[in-house]
Amino acid sequence: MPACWKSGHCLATAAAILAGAALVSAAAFDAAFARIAAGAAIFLFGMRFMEDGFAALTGGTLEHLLKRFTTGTLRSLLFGIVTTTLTQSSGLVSVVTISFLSAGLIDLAAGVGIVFGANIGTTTGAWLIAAFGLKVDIAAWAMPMLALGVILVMHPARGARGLGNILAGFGFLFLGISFMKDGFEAFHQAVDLSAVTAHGLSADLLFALLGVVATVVMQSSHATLLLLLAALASGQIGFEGALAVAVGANIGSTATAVIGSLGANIDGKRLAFAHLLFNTVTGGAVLAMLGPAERVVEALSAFIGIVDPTLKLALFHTLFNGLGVALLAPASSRIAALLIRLLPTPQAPGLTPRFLTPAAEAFPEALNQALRLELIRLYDNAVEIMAHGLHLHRRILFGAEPLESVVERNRDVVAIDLDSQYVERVESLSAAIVGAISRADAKPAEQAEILRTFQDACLDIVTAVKETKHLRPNLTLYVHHANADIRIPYNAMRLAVGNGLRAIDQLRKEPAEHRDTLELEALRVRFEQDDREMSGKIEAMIRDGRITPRMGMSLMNDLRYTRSIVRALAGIGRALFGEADATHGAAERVLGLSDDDISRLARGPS
Amino acid sequence: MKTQKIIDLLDEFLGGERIKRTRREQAVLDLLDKLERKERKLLEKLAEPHDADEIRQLNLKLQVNRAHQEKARQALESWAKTGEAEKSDDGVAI
Repeated sequence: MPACWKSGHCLATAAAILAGAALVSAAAFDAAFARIAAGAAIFLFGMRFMEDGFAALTGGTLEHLLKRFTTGTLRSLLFGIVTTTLTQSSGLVSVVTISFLSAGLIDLAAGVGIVFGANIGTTTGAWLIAAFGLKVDIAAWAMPMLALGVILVMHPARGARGLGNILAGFGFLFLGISFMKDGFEAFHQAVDLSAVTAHGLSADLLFALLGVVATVVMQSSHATLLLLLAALASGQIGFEGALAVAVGANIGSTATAVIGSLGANIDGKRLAFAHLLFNTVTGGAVLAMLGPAERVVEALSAFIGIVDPTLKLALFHTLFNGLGVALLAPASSRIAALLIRLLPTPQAPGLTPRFLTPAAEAFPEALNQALRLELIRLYDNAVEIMAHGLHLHRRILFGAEPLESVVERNRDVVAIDLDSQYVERVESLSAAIVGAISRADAKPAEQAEILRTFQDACLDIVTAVKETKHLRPNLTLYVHHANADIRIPYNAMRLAVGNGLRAIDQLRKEPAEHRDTLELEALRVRFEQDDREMSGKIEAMIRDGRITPRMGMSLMNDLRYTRSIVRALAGIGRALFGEADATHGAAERVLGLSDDDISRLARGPS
Repeated sequence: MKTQKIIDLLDEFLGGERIKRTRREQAVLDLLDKLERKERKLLEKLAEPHDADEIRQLNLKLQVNRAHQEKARQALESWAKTGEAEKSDDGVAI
């Protein structure tokens, strides 16, 4: 997801452009276009609210539900079916799923499962319309949602605020869609299905195209189905033609997801493509066999006892979506892999060296200075990634507030794509540094030692970022967990890494002659002590049922990652901000503590 | 800086590893001096009233500081022994 989209600037810009378009068109062109533009702006505004709301709720119940209901294809499918049935909008569910994906709450295979489920969930709309002749007026839902949402947004509790944002977001989305539909009323005559009376394959394709166009224009397959069912009930369209229009409506419903994915990250685009793929593949297959499909529906209807053609159409709608899901859902992991191949993560140019030039590489002293400066650049980039990975902002992390209260008070998810950040800001620069070190003349021995120290520091930075990446999923899940036995250790891990980052920050602010990089090793001893204490408790907590064995496993693994990060930070601090003079630097290394020394100190006097 | 570089180059050219080691010994002695000053500061701080966590932090720093001092002394001792060996070889005191 582009940075501007994450921060909401893209949404705000798009909404502002659309609002401007609404003003201009209202003044100069047509009121219908003004409503369409205003509707799109409101829609985007609603998306912003929803993203904020979901971000505020992450770590709590929502994550728990998502984690629970999106593990495995069947659960993801059910999640898609239930949410789409409740919201009556597969487009909306797709947009929300893209938002989940972008926040890293679910993986692509789960997202594909949800989208497939949404295709079944959306068929409940046809049954509702056909059976009751009713459709939920989403604009009528929008107002109470907005009212309740705005009240909750002002609530002091974070969870209530998150819920308020989601409600207001849904309200704005519904209102936006309603505005757009109203605006497109002018096109209703253009898609008057009763005017088309052709037959055969070409007619089926034409009807399907009409379904696509009508749904894209009205941003709702339900609206198309409503028109279609009315036409079918009044005999203005043949049954086979109606089936083709329903297929087209399904394909057209992907437009919302495609539009929603334009500003999303690569996973969002992949998901929108999965949605498009599912609907076009199943739609194409059904269109090719529309005659036999019609006979199957007729036979099944006769068997069940359905006579009403509108209910038969609803049955067809459910059958063909269900068939598509039955065929494609088992392969959702493979589809996700295919999507990753078809839409690869764009290779960002990445950070390039600024100081490591051929001229600098020609002289050992210049090379050493260039390496140090490049490593500090690399570290600064790594710090931002790590801080965000721990859901902390550097301004707060490096502020005056005690770190214990910083980690306790700041637990909102900081959305960051760690993989792409690593590729963009760490991988290429670290490779350039290692390349320069390998090309350098490692003589005399003192220079070889300096180069080795820099190489170790580079690897330490890479390790710290990678381990943060490993730590983040469980950290995100547990820092808000209701169970204090799992929440507290995860916040302690944030504290341990935060302490290391803050200690290095304070160290670099001191004059060089007052710096004591050796003191950073106290952080390692402290973590080692805490780790020993926690490791001793984990088994007992599992035994007493205070945490699940899975939580215990996660905790043990993540303590290892944290130890590795703290160790790396102590090395980085000494290599980059310690003695620049070669002899003094070497003396500092002589005094450095080994892993055994750290363990001995952590155990205390025997 | 240039003078130092010339001395280093001469030292290297004339096989004067001893000079370098002496400089390294001096660097370790400087560090040891710094660590001892730090230890005194930590002890002074520990004498002041603190909460439990602060006392733990200061104690940890003190432990680590002393471990570094121990390492420094061990290194100096070991180099001193090596120096004795060299003295017996070439008769030059370090």
